[in-house]
Amino acid sequence: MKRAAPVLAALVLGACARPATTPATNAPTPSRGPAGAAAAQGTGAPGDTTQRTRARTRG
Amino acid sequence: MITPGTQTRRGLFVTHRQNERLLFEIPRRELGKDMYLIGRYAAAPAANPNLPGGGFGAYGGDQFGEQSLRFDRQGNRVIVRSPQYDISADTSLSVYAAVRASNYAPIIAVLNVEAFGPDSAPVVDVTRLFTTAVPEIAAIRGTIDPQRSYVERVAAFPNNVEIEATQTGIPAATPGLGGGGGGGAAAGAARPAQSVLAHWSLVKLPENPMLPRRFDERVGYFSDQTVDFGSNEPRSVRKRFITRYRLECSDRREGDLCYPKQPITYYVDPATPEWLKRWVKAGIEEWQPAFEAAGFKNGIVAGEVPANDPDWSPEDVRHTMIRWLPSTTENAVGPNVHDPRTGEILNGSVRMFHNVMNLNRSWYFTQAAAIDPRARKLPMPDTLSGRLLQFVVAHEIGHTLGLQHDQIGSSTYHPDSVRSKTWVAKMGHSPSIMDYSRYNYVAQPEDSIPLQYIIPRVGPYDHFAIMWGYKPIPGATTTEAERPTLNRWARMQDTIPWYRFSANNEFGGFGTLSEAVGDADPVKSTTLGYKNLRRVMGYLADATRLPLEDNSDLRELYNRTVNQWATEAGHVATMIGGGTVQYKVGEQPGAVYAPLPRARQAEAMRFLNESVFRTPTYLIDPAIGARIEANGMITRVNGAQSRVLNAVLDDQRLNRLLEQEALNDARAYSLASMLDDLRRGVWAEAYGGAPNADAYRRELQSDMLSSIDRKLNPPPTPAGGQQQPNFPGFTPPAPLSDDAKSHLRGTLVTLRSDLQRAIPRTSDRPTRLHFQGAAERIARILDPKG
Repeated sequence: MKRAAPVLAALVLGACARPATTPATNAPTPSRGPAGAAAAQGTGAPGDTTQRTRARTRG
Repeated sequence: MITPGTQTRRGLFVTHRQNERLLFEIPRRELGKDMYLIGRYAAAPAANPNLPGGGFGAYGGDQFGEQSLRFDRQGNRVIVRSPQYDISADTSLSVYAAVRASNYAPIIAVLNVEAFGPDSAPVVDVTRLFTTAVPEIAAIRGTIDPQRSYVERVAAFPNNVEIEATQTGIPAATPGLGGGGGGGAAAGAARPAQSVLAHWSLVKLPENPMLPRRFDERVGYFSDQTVDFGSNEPRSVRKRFITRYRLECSDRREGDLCYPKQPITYYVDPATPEWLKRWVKAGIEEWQPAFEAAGFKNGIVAGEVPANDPDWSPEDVRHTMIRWLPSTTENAVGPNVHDPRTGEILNGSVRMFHNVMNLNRSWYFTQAAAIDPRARKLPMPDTLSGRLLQFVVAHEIGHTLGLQHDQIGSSTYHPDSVRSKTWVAKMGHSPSIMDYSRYNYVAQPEDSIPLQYIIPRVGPYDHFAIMWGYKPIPGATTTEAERPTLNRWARMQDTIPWYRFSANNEFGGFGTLSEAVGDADPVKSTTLGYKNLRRVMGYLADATRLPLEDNSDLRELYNRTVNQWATEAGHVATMIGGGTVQYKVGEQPGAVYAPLPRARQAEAMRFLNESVFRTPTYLIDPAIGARIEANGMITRVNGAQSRVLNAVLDDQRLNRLLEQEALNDARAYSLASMLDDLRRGVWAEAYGGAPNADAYRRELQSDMLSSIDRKLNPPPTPAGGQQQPNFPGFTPPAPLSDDAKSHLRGTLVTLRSDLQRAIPRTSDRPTRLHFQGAAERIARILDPKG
């Protein structure tokens, strides 16, 4: 018999259904051309992941 | 058969490892017994946190499956079945034969007997159960490559067998529960193989099952159920029983308390950051007084992980652990594994995701910086961060002890109470740590609340609930015999409101407000909360100024502050069409559902018009905006305001207002009155002498039209698609009634003529253009084809 874990037993509801990370609102977009693309690469530098996740907002 | 070189272990089964093969020798006494197989990852590929869709995936310690099992011998074969407990009857009754015939257990596997051990114990080769794609058992849902899958280790104990195997396979395209992690890859793309180290605990369910304690909706336990056909009643009885640990008194006593035969033991994950371990331990032990209320001394303890025991495994189902997961998810969960026959919790391991600490930081800054100077400078001190983590640990442990969210808790406390030093010292700012009350945002600086009382604690409701679920009832030897005592205890709720429970009441919120403090009077608590948010706005820039860091902390906490503002407004919104709930049984007189009086609902609407829909200028700080973004302020403020506006215009709320009017007539706050008040509030400029609406107001006013437009002219459902998946047991809410739609049309008709009258009086061009545009838009909403 398969049983599901209680779905309500979380600190914040709805988080399971939401992607854990969303891009930062000010993330440079590739459409800005070569300079923008370089900047986009820069945001992928080590240590920057926290910055992106911080931009998460709760719905 | 069992050749030299075979590694043999004796326990529940005798296990033999013979090169790549794993053999079980099943003693005859264990054939036909109820067992449970729990699968967890010992190691798994967590999703890449930089990709959307990752983060909640598979970590070491995560559970991927639960399966009841029974091994039956039939001639030269052993049949592995999964018995079901959904329907039941006492084995002594004649109806049991029909129940058994209708509970024919699905077969998981058929194994040939390879040999017989002493006492005719069949020996079977179980290797493929753990190295091939047996859907009920596999750790990867999809295909499994047996060439790259193998048994790693096995250990046998008196009541369980622990198996570990590496499985390699390709997860199915749609990642399901326990999909092996790595979710988020584009559908249709070639999916790479994944390997997981899977750990299964095969545990014998207690031969002496725990006495199930009957579920009662008045007290917030998770539950399991069976439909009993063995009662004398004319229809089958749905028997729900709570999930809880088995806790029994030993002979050792201390005063009125007894020491348990076996305390509930939680281990701190050795992977927890060193500086946080003591706080995790404190979160475990915070529950001890609640178990004293149930009559147990040291009913729950923190265990020490043995340093040099190769057979001790954190995935072993006998060990309950607070797992620390390297995840960016800002959350924590407390599931449990329980005996499906009785609700006895066998394991309550908690999952703490690393970044829950960031969520704590955000909450504490926005909710407590006004009264706690430690929150006014990042990073917050470790002692504070640790204490905040203790609160989350204690909340999750509450879940794994069997408790649901006690969302009604905070609404039984008045805002004046949570501002009182003596009250919070004794009662906390919420009666339950299982409530979604976060930190005490109602208390004002002048209240001088000692800082340790700003944080939720295991409270009076929690003590009551643990007492109700765990206290032994001497003399009661059956579940039914316990009921009179349990009812007497539950009736303490008649006089002690904070013992009442509701996780999510049917009035859509009021009385079970989420993330609220002191919401016996939401208007007052939000008024006080807003005073604090003004103070918090003043601390934002300094708190987040770190010489070598960018402005992302400022951006995050600013957005969090605005969100907190909307959350507190939302508590007031739920009063409209709201009411309170106290669940009752037949012998308890009076209403279970009681709508809020008209005056209080109208007061809530007034507050929203004055304090929420008017532009909250104190939230708008151009200097902060200039540090964090090229543009976005109007979107930010509008997002917060329209969240509240949409809550007011929620379909179910509008339906409820109509029904409250139908049932209570003049005493109710009618839908028409509410919409009149809302129209005059949101569009107040149209009713003044020289209308002048600022950019935020114009945006909010347009949102009101958009919201009504969506209700009157909903977009067509995409062909062949359902809008929302329906879950079993989930009834979709009733759609907005036609009557309510007529009310909304009437609101637009009135508003259009009011706008047309106001246009000549407008004093500025943006307002005039906005009113003209709104009048035209209303015409289109009322007649979309025209």
